[in-house]
Amino acid sequence: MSLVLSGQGEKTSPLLRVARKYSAYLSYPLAICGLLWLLALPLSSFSRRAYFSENAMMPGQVYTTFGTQSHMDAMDRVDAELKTKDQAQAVEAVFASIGLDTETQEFTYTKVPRIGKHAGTNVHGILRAPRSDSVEALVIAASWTTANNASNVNAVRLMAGLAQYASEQVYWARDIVFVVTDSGEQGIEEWLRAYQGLTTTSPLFVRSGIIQAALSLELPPAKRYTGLGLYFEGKGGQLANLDYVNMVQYVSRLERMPAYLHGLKDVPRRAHWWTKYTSATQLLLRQVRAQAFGLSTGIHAPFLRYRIDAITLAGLPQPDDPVSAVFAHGLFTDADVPAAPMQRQIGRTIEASFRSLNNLLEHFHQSFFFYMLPANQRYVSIGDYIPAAGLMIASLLLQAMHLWWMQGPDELRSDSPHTRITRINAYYALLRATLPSSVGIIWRVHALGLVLLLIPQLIASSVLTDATTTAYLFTMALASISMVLHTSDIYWTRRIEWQQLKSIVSVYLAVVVACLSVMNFSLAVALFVVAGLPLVFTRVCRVDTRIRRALGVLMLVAVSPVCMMTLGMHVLGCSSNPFRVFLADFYRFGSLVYPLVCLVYWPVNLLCMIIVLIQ
Amino acid sequence: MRIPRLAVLAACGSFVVAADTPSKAPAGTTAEMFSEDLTIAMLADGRVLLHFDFEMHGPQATNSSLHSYGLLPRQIGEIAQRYGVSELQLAFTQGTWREARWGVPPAAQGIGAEVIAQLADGADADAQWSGLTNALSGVFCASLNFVGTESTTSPRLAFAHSQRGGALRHGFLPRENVCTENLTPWIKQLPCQAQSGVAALLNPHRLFNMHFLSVAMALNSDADTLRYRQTLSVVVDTPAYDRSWALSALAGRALAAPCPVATRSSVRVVAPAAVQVAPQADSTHSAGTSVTHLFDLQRRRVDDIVFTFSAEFDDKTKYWAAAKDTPVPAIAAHRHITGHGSSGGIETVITNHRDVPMTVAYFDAVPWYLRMYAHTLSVRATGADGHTSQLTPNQIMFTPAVDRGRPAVLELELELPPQSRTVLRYDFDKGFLKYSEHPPDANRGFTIAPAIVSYSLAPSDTARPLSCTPGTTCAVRVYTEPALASLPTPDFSMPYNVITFTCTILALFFGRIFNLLTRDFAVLTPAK
Repeated sequence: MSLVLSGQGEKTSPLLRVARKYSAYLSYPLAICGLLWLLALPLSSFSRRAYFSENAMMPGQVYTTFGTQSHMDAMDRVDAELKTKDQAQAVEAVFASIGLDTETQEFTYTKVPRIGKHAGTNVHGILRAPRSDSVEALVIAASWTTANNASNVNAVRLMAGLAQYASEQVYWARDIVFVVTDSGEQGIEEWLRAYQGLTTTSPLFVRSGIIQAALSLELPPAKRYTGLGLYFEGKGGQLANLDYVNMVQYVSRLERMPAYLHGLKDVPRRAHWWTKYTSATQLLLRQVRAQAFGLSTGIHAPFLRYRIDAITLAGLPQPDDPVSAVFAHGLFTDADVPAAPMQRQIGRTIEASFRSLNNLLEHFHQSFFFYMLPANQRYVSIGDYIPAAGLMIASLLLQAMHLWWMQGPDELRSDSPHTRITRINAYYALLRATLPSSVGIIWRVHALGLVLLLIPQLIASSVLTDATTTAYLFTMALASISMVLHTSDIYWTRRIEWQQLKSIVSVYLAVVVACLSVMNFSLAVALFVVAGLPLVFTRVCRVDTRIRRALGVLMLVAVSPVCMMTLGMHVLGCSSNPFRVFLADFYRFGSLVYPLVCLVYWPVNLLCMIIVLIQ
Repeated sequence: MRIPRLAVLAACGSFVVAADTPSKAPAGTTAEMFSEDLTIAMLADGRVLLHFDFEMHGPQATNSSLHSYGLLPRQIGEIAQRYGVSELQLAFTQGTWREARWGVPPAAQGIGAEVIAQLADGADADAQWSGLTNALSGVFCASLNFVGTESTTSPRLAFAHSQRGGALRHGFLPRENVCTENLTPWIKQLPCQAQSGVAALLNPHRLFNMHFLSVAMALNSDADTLRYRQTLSVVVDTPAYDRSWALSALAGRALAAPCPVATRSSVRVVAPAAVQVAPQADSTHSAGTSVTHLFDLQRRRVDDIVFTFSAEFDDKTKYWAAAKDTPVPAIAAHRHITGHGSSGGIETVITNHRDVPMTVAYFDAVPWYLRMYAHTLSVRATGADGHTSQLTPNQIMFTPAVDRGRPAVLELELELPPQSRTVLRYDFDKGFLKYSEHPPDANRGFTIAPAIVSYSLAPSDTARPLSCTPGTTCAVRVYTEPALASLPTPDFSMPYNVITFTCTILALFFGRIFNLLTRDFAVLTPAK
């Protein structure tokens, strides 16, 4: 009853009355403002200079000593062992000779449900901190191949040198775990699951305490590096604590091996504002891509799921590097190691970072976990970017309110006190007649999304190759669109209020975007752009002719998941269909993107089509 | 009137003399005895274990306040009598004993501070216990007074071998660090303090530059005798990467003449046969690859001991290979916290290294804020053949926790198959604490006291702790490492923000109103 009364303006505050009066005009500019706010984020006046919140870290307060002969010898030992043993055994032998507690983990995994078994091997060595109680640990991780499928033996070599260095020191307050995997992110995920006792199939017995921070290393073949790329986004959009990112940037600059966010170099301070703006935009877009879709570089990503702050440092080879060029032609030999000063600089960067991590008294908690970084050593705090999401949500909600008011014939909206009872009765009858059909359509479309979500997990998905995935997607798209046409055909003859339907969908989407924006801002924005904006502008002008309706549906098809993913394959830089990538990430890392596509994006897109088609 | 007074004074005087120079006051101390021993063991990874053992016997005090303590520390005797303690063990430990490398620990101790006391029957045991921990806290400058009911337990299985009737209490502070302020009162209890004998090597500068340190005391009170034993085990690095080094370089101090009141004063060196020990020991005997050299400091003066390693020890990597041959203790136990987020679990791995089944008692006290689910307990044993099967405990004792009252205590009696690895798992949910219950560094997490596995060592077993005489059955305790559980933490700066905001607003309003109320406004006419 209160629904009816509030619809009739019986129980409204003056504020709501004002809002309703202007809601018809407000929602479009609000949506545009939200987008403009996003476009303003790269402006340098929006961001602030990075600073350290955690004073205990004391970054850059130590003399770094990495690079003595014993450390170089330990690195050479990796090469010597690799000549006679396979990768895992060689690393284990080197770790054991340094005095670490080592263990090898053999595991099998499936990339996508029931698509063949893959096997992998992880090796880890634990450096026990003297006089400590082994309740906390730091992790250095490396995979045998980098994210670009290049050899990462340089990183494994450097790890051996670092292990040797660390074993000579007495000041460690927590254990240091050195992990080498041969299966990239999946290998680290398996290792973490075993370390945390979440799996019993390939358990670990040589363990230390809870992991406070992790750092992964990638050094593609090169003689010289111009700097390091710093990556900090996790699989589900979690970010490493800002203090950690700042600290690594700071100490790397002291060691003259600067860590650049996503490998993008600094813009000179006196550059034109437009140059700064475009550079910041590029950096932000890379972050949005990594955060929203989990398309991250580096094996630090799985750590963040377990509330472990982690980053990846990746070497950036010089553009004209001889070894890097040779490697591109497949003629790389392991003897072409980076120049010794390079190894020393990178090693000292990591040494300085670990000394700071070692100084931490508590888990990272002082600084931001939600931020955007538009330039090296600058940040935009959540308070400055969240209003963009607020504006978008407000636009959806205002429109929903307006449309709820606008449903039914015009007589319902008269102000005359004499017809009050009649109006309430008419309004009640209207809701009884139309609400079930609106909710019914929404349920039906969502059931379709549920089918889309479940089918790849139920069918024998060895058929889910790239080509079949695309075919499957198009089949689903055609089936769903024909269903849309069919349903709207039924409802053409029946009375249904498109205002009511759009209002409910708007509220639903606003709630989803609002919840998402505080978890994964990038994903929330992406969802609003592909699903929210089309919804706001659906049926913004009259659709009284068949041509107009067809145009509207065509535009909605253009922003449908199938089109977006086919186009997005190149924009996102996926090697295969994004649908398949999201499916795999959902299965392996519990990523939210795939369920969101199936249960929100696709249904909302289909509902928009229905709204256009209803007369 | 004068005579009794004089007698009292004389009595006091003789008492003071007796306490200061016990050897010269035979009357009250004939039954008292003191012995000092030092064991120096070369560990397989090139580090050195120093184990100091001081033991004192004395007659039981018959009249509490007037009893004359000669060698035994008076403060300990009085505490034992006042709180009706028949057995007391106290240990401060820092650093993990790496049994895979170092072999059998000299005496098992868990990281942190541990008090175990057997209290006399009849009296209010909880009040006695509280008084005892407070008194010990004062004596040893430790936070033992924080062993409240929340970290006190009464084990029923784990310490059964030492039970002599009465109330057994066990308290553990896992975050207590060992410091010189704990060591100094401990040294002061020795009859010769650190002035002579092996105790002269107790150099705090060196002791705290270590890998493992355990400072312990044990009190045993019979009907007629009082035994007090002080032990200190420390694992240190060798002075330099040199083939030859001296004990004085290792400890930073030289051996002194034996304590005059000691009945026994000895140094025992356990080293591989390839290590030469100078001067020549009074007696040597070898067992396996290691040789034991025994020096009797009472027979002759030994100023320093020099160890010379043969060339085969030059390569440091060989140490790690040698570590693989170290005799491992019969039972090893490790515990880890599993899971992440708001729930988790505990996983304990107990390994039986012997070819015979071993009966062990497992004891774990889980704080109330980790809400443990006893029904999730699973015990699985993997035998030497790699076959894993469910292991049914012989006995299960579970005491549920009381919020802010007592911890949940799980005690199991397990029969471990030969050469097996047993994995115990149980789950918990993390409780929410009041903001005032968090420690100052809340985001580090809460340290959970180690679990304890106790078993009795067969007389035939050669890998035995130093405290356990060969050829006897000993009760051995194995401690796991402590664990860190991170609990949900509030944003502690929030109350601060609220306070500052409120104070600012109050100050502004109060200032203006106060101004308006108290100030008198008047129009001034310029003076001419």
